Amino acid sequence: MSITIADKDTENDLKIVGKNVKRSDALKKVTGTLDYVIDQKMPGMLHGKLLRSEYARAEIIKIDTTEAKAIKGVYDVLTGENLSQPVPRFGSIKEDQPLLADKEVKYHGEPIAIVLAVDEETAKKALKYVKVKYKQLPSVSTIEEALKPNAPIVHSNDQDNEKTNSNICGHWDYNWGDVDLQKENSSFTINNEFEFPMIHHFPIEPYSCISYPVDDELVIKTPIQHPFILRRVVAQALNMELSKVRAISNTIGGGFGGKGYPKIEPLAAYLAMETVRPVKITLSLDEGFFSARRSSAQVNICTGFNSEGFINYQDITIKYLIGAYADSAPRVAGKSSYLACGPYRTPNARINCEAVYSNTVPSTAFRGFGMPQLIWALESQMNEASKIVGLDPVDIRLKNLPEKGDVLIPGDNPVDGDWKQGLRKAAELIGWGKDNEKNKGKGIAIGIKNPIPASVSKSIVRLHADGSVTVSSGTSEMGQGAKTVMGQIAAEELGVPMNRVSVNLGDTSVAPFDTATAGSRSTVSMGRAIKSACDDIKNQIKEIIHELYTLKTSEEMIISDGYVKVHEKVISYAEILTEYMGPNLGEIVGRGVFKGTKINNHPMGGLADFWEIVFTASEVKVEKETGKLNINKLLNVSDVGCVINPLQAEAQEEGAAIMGLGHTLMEQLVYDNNSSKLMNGSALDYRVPTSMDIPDNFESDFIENHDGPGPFGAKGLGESGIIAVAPAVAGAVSEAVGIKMKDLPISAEKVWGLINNKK
Amino acid sequence: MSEFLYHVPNNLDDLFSTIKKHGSSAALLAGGTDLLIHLKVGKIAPQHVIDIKHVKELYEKITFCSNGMTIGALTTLINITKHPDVQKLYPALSESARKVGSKQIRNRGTLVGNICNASPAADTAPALLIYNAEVTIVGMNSRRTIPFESFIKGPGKTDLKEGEIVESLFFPFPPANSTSNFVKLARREGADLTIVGTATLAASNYETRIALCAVAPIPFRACSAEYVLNQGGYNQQNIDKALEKVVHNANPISDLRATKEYRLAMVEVITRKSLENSLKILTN
Ligand SMILES: Cc1cc2nc3c(=O)[nH]c(=O)nc-3n(C[C@H](O)[C@H](O)[C@H](O)COP(=O)(O)OP(=O)(O)OC[C@H]3O[C@@H](n4cnc5c(N)ncnc54)[C@H](O)[C@@H]3O)c2cc1C
Repeated sequence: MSITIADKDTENDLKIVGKNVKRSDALKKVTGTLDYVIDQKMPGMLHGKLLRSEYARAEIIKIDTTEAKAIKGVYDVLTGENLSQPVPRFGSIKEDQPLLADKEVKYHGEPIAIVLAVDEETAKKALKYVKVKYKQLPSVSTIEEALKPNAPIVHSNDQDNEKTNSNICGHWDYNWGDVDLQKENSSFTINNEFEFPMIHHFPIEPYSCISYPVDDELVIKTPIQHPFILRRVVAQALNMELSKVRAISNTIGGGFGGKGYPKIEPLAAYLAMETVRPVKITLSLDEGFFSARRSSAQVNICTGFNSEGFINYQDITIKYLIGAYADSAPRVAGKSSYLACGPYRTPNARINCEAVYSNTVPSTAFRGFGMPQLIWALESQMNEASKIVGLDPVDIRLKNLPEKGDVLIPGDNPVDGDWKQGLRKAAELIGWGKDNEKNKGKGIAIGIKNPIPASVSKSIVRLHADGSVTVSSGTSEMGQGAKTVMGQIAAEELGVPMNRVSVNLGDTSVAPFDTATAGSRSTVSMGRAIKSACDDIKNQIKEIIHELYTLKTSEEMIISDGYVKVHEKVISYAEILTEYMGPNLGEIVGRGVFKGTKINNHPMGGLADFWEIVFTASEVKVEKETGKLNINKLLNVSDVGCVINPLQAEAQEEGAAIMGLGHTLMEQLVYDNNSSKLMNGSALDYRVPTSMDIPDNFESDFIENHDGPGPFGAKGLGESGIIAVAPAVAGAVSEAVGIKMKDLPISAEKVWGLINNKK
Repeated sequence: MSEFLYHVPNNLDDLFSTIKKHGSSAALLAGGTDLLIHLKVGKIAPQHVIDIKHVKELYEKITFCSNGMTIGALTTLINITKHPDVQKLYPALSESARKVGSKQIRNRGTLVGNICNASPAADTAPALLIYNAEVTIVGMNSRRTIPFESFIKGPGKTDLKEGEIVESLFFPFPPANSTSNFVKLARREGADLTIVGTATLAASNYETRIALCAVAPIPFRACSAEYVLNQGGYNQQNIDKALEKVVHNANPISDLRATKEYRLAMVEVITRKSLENSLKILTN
């Protein structure tokens, strides 16, 4: 029997993929009816409110909860001492974070007690009656202080620390070629230090989770990006079987990495088990500042060029300032530094990275996963190089970009796209080469990132006997539009209309395993899993047909667009399944899997599934008197292989670009150097761009060469748009008024200062 | 937020007796865009909150008479920005009201609330100063009108005595052949607190008024600078001299938004910009 499963790889065949299918949650979002956890209630539910440390580092001498407990409506007030001992600790990489501070607080804002009450207001009120006696201890909040010989040590008795009695949490080295040899052979050497500030994710939806026991199982409903990681972390912290913990990723009102790894969930889970009641913990928007941030970074970069402007070597030292607990910060440091040489052909490299603990909010994954920090340094360096070498900023980049198929990092997948095409497109769209008006300049930069190597996505797709479809996957919907895109992929593959596809996301008891909704990987990895589940369904249909119609091997059948052509007859899935399953209408269950290439002893654990690359260009006008920047134009060109949903792809790129403008122009968490207290942890003091701050001319474009590993040749996107905004803007500022930025944000005051010192 | 009793008097008598009964444990609520923030962060903890929005003698309208304009205690910022005559006659007021917060804030927030809150950075204050606005204050058995210039006494402090409220603001018409405007510098375009805000008025007879917010404990008129221009006219040398005086009058602090040094430099830049805007219109 010869079977044709019509392959849809050319754009013309596609009916649903590549179309502007409306987001499945659009109506609910604009009418304010989407069901966020923060709005949910359960009968008998207790509301938890956290008391947070006033100091960055202190010994807790005594916590008096008597008065708070006496308040009407208060169910209980718990401190670290009241939990099972030793205090349970959790963490995705290191199990180092206590559910509530354990004798010593390590950062300003660390939770030290929780009030459980019948409602949120009562819990809030009772917080004021909890009395804490502290003994303040010295603290550190900068890289410089944390690395001083006699620095206060954040984790003094942590056996895992790289060096005992040090604040170095981890250390990574990547080397190829011979940098020392090339130091003598280079015509130009450029040496700079760049800094990138701490940034908060600032999701508009505050953190909120509900946990409740069901018989001997525990359910956690929360806006979490990685429900399977949450399940694992909670099971480990509370010593439970994986099968007894059900994590449900409720729709997320903004994650950006800040809702990737568990925060308040392990405590809620513990309390639900203890009280045998639903427990809800909700944080205020401002408490978000005490929950997650991007690592700040100090990057020393020394680049050698030959006389023609080719990169000879990169010698890069990176220090990430992470917070008081590891969270996912060590992985951010180790993974991003691997790509510190960026998209360029780099024959010799020496990369040295350290993650340094401090008494600050734990840092974690954040859109771009360390790459914005490194690309800020690398691309600013390239801008400077273009001046020194005497090449146009676009030309020096073209010169150093590899060709498709070239090695990027030895031992990893080669370059998988036409990167020069992307750069040329961005240059063309911004009007590169045209003269600039006075005080105006253009800048261009390239961002790169890789997804999660050796990751796994599984999916179950059920074709029901009426021809409708249910997709189950562990991916979560965090505004990126996964629910819509996953539905599109299944609809396209099975040849059914979108409105006949239901998508269940992010419930660990319903969906099969998925590594994470991160790294711009889901459309590629989960998309592949869904495609393979659909192929599995088609193969089962083939077997059913075979059975029903007793085909001889020579006879041909064609499966295409929801129909099977057999014996010259065209039969729908529904007809076949109804006939096969009988009057009670059963279903076919398709199983699909994607597995990245795992390589033992590879520093990343495996190969990059694809390179997520973006070309960012901007045109900026500098108001010299005030130093204010007017971003006239900002555009991103991303090589995504194939756009599954243009509307959503653009929205992702734009959202990312606006976030990028945030750290470029105004965002920065400010810590007081002496007290290590967070000074601007509120929506009023910490400014993010609003809709009023969007550039007049704001565009996203895509390169679609159908050369990605995802379904229909897709590569990932979603993080790309944020990565290179800062150096593209700084490059433009430098063209406009001749100043060199070494740190962010590029505030008006900073620009004004640089312009005036120059005079 | 601490617990409080919420009162909604519907006439002035009720309002005053409620205020009298609860004295300093009561707070007045107009649009609530300042008050609620203060309540939530625990800056104040009144036991009684008295909503003045339903007091029938207080009003939302903007009215004009032969010598000027009256704005009521309940006039929202959005209505000020929308009013074509305010735009024409008092552009600095219109523009500064438009610079307060976001549209949602302006829909609720009142002009009177903005000045009663007495923030050093109150955006509308410079406009009130350059238009020589007057504040009508009423109490149970009292009524008085004072110049706005003497209304704000310090950060968060006004001339209001216990039991008094602001009933309305009066704006005399600006001098003939004059023009005015407001310029605000902030960290972003969307709702933000001001780093430097300046309103200026310039007239063909050189009558000049300059006022600033966010660069001293209270918004102020730069009288010595005004004098230089009143006397000497609008040539470059005079303008430079006047700006020097403005800077001299400013006494900003360093905070998370900007350093003192930058604010002082921007006092000159923003005031110059505002003056130039005015002069451009004047000479046309
Ligand atoms: C997000 C946000 C952004 C903001 N941005 C700005 C900005 O850019 N610029 C700016 O200047 N302000 C800003 N504000 C502050 C605020 O919106 C304004 O000050 C507003 O005009 C206050 O008016 P209201 O009616 O809401 O006052 P309320 O909050 O009701 O009252 C403010 C104070 O005045 C008192 N009060 C009110 N009416 C009377 C009366 N008739 N008699 C006596 N006392 C009275 C109240 O008791 C209270 O103390 C912002 C606020 C928020 C929340």
